[in-house]
Amino acid sequence: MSYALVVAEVRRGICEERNLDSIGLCTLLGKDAVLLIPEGNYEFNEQLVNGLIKAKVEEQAFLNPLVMVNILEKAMAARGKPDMIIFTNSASGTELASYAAGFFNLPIITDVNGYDKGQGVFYKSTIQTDLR
Amino acid sequence: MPFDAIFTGVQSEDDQFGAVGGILAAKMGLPFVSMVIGIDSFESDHAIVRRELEGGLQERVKIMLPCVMSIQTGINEPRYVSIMGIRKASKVERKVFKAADYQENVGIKIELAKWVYPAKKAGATILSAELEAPAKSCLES
Repeated sequence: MSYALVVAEVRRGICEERNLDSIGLCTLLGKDAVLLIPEGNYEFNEQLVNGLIKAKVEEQAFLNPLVMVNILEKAMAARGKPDMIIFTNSASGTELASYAAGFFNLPIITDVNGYDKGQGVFYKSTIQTDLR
Repeated sequence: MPFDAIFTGVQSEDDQFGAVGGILAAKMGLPFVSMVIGIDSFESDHAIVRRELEGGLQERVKIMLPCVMSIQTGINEPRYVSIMGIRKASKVERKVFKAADYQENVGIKIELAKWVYPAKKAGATILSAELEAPAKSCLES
């Protein structure tokens, strides 16, 4: 079964609410969501995802791009390659996503705010004064 | 040429991908910090920087050198350039790199399909200051 690996954003012991946007995108895509989260007492409804991978690292290390790519390598070795890796749309999410894209040589779209299943296109914000 | 740091912008004004710094760092095997709004110290082997997070939160990060940093707008007040400086700059050799030279064997993995404005949604309704009636209408709708 194809799945999307959702990298949770956690900060100061809290599982950020914006993770729900990432999980919601999986629903739009029709893909199973597997959440990657560091071990800890994070309050999170596990029923919202189809799988959970807990990384044995401290929160700060989890948010470090160099550590994250190692975690992703291990997660993918254990679970198989996902169709996509989804990060939160935030300072840390973009930092981790861009580094992971370079490291794994994967295409990247940031600031995604929608998906059209019929046309198979993602939507992202852009600033253009004159759309043609 | 040895270097201590590579600075990139955080994101472009139009497409706002914000991906150059991270990809560059990963390709070069360098540590990366994004959204830098201040450099508190720059030592021989490391730097201590502040990065901007959501909700006004800032993070202070120690990063080993050499590294890549993406710099947030407003980190520095641009100075006026002196006439002497302009003259000096005009004499500096400019190397021009053609994008086409670097696109061999690079498959197109992402493509712009179209530009569109977001679909218009129904207008908002302003509810009155009284609590009971709007709460009732919300429950009924």
